[in-house]
Amino acid sequence: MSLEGRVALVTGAGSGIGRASAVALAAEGARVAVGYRGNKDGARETAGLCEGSMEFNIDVSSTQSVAGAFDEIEQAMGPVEILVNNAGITKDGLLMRMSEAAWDEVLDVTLKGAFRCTKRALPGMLKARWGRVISIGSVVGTTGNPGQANYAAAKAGLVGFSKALALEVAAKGITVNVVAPGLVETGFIAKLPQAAHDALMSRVPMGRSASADEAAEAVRFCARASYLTGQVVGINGGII
Amino acid sequence: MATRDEVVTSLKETLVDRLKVDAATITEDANLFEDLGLDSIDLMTVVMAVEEKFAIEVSDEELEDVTTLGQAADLLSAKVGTNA
Repeated sequence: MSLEGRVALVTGAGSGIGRASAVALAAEGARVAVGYRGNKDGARETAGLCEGSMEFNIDVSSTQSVAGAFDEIEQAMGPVEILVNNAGITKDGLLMRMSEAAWDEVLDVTLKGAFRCTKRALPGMLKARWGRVISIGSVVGTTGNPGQANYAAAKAGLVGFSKALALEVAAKGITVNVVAPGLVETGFIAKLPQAAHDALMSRVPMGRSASADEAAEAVRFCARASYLTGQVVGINGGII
Repeated sequence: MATRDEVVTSLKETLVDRLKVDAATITEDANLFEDLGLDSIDLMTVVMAVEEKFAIEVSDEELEDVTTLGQAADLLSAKVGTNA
């Protein structure tokens, strides 16, 4: 198992792609810190699927919560070597009707949350001269999607963020990549308005959505791949 | 109050332990980048270690002119003096 003993933190791991990523990393031997904000039951269930894992409450929209959670993880498991920035939220609406709050909240969790966690994780990775930062982007960060200007901006932001950081730490044994899924069957997608769901599906050449496990396969790949950095791995059934 | 010597010692320790710089090459006049092979991330790593140890903070702007170990020690020890 190529990630034997490595400590991985997956934020938003109580369900969906986060859970599947935790399971995929655990299958490679990683010890997973299962991050959750509200979904404690889900996180416990995820932890039950990952040998050697523990759950940690981490609200990525709070610098204080992130700092506290990292302190706890470091004490209980050791420094985070693999960070999966998965936590994200949507607050959909057409831009002309979008409140500033809906914009700010989505950016604060989905984009700035990754900034907070990554910044906190980096010193340990630099010290170890080994690290993996994997952020979950989205195909809508490239293609756009009506009703998701905030979410698309946040996901596109993760790409720029990751490419810049990849250059900063390339020589330090730390890789930084984005896994950008298309339509994945998770509770998250199920909550999309039907029109948005249909619009996305009509653009998928494979004509079907992905399972969360199929998306997590790319997370596993990014965690293992040692010469892959600054890249966006699209898991989208052929959407170009 | 920490002395400049303590800061220099701390800088050297970090360079050797954390960044695997050959101790024999470290002098106060050595250029951190050209002689010791550091890059900007390495400099940040060293500075952050000293910041943490002495509970001080330096800004990125202040670091812009730092090219030698001696200059870094001057800057950091001055902070220790004012913040301690």
